[in-house]
Amino acid sequence: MLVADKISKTFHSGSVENRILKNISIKIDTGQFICVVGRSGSGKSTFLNILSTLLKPDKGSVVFEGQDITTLPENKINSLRQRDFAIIFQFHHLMPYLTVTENVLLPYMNKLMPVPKSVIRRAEECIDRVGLGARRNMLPGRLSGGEQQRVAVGRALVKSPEILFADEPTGNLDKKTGDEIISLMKNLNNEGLTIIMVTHELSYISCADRVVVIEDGIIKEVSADSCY
Amino acid sequence: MNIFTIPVRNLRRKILRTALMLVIFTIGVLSMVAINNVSRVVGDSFEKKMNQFGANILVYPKADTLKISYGGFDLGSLAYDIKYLHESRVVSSINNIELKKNIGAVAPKLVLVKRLLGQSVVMVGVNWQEELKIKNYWGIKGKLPEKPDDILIGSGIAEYFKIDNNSVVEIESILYEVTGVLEETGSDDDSVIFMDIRHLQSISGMSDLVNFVEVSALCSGCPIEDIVEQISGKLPDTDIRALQNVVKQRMSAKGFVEKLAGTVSLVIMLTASCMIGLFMFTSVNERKKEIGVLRSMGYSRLNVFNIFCFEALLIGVIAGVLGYFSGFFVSFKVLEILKLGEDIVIHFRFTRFVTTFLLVTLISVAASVIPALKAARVDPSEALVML
Ligand SMILES: Nc1ncnc2c1ncn2[C@@H]1O[C@H](COP(=O)(O)OP(=O)(O)OP(=O)(O)O)[C@@H](O)[C@H]1O
Ligand SMILES: [Mg+2]
Repeated sequence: MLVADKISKTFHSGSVENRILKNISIKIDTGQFICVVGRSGSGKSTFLNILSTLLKPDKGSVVFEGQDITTLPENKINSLRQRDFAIIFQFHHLMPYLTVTENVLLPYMNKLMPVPKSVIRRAEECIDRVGLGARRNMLPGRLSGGEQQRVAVGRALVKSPEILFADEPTGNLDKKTGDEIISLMKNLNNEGLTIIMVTHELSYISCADRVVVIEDGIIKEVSADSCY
Repeated sequence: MNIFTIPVRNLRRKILRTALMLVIFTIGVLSMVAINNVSRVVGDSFEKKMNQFGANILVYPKADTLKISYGGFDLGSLAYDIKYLHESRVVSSINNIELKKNIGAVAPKLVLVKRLLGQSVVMVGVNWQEELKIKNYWGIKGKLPEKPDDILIGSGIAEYFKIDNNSVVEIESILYEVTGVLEETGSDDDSVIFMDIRHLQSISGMSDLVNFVEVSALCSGCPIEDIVEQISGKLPDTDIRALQNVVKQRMSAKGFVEKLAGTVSLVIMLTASCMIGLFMFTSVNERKKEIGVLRSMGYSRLNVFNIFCFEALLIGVIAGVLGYFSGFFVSFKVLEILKLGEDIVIHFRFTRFVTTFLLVTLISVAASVIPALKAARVDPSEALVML
């Protein structure tokens, strides 16, 4: 369970103050699929980054498993990012010099110790899961955009995270490939994974349990049907 | 697969950039090693050449009377009890000190006053072979004496007595052939007659006796005091004087060559490390997104720092090894061109290799510390938001 309580964020560019989030609160239960929508520049990414520890709010708290993650020390945040949270971006951000398998194993490659065999096996399962079993040893540059994004999903899955954060994961894909990514995510959600996804594509919100709109710095929860 | 996979793969993928960095750094190390090797050899051979301009240690009989000289005017011949050294003992002792490899020449001398054409002249008995090692600057008109009754005369003697090459002169009822005349040296050598020391000893009934011994010591790697001390240890009954100014002059010439080499290699390494630093800076800027992603999946700042430092470490290690050995090769070639390499060998010393290697690696890593710190400070949200 992830609970955000009265979070605010203001950006300063020069002397101009830009209040992006104003006292936003939300409670997300385990296993939910949440869609975050809103105009461009409304603060969706900012909101998601605060929930996923990449950004600190000016005010307010984000509680995960009983701890306020906005005040955690650096090492605790790192282990949270490593074990519990997984993030997918609009761009796949794969390492161009690592193979598909190695990219999926990347979360485990920050140690001197070689990645254990059991983890490699799990990575291979994840690669099969996202349908890239045959492309395992290829470099990302040889894959299509959809395949690249599926590797990024695989990289997020390998650690069996508690929550998957996705910031416009289909933003850089055509409709058909985007649909494949979304149905993959929906399947993962059906297996119990909590997903918080920012999207521009209104047709995807039918997959969501809840839809939140960010507008003028505050969120409004709407029913999925009302979006059409 | 571990954290080093990332920098290794990155280096391999950007092979052109890696090669360029390696070339720059290898050339830096190469020139450093070559300059130092060459300067050491040149310095040594410089010293050897300088040693040919006279001796730097004098071995005298111990004087237990007051020295009879005043204002540079030596009244030694007025002393009644002139003391002598035993040539064979002194020469073999000097040649057997611990630092014997630093002994360049041991030139014994017997100085006697004889009469020529009714005048007193100074006869100096010398060991020709050793004498020529320390009197390399001698210019001889004619040739060196070969037979015992051949003599070499100073320019002053030749002028005074009006004798020249091939003249035959009578000294105390023995006939000598003048085989050569010394060109003016501006020293005492101008006014004396040189002959074979054995011959002078035997005609004077002074077998194995000498007045003093001149020694030329090579002082690289050891202070002259050590050599003096070792000789006096073997010959306690002698007075030994080191001509410090001669030594200092030689060492300062050698020191200058070494200092110059040191400065040049420092500048080269500094330039090379700035280049490495620059390469790493652009690399960090190019890879900001990559760093952001790594941080977003739990890589610590230290992990990121290590990834960049390890890249520099790898460059340093490879360039260190390549540069050291190619530096050796280049030094041989340079010495060959300078024609200094004939009798000189550059030894491969493992400790020196290890020191150079560690130093180079350290420099390479040090050059990348600031860019790596910059990498570690990349904020993941900013890096990923900017598109
Ligand atoms: N680091 C920052 N410094 C200053 N301003 C920022 C920063 N990050 C975001 N902003 C500003 O905050 C506002 C919200 O940005 P955000 O990225 O959250 O919007 P968004 O809803 O995700 O938009 P989009 O749909 O285009 O991705 C924008 O006006 C943006 O310019
Ligand atoms: Mg956004």
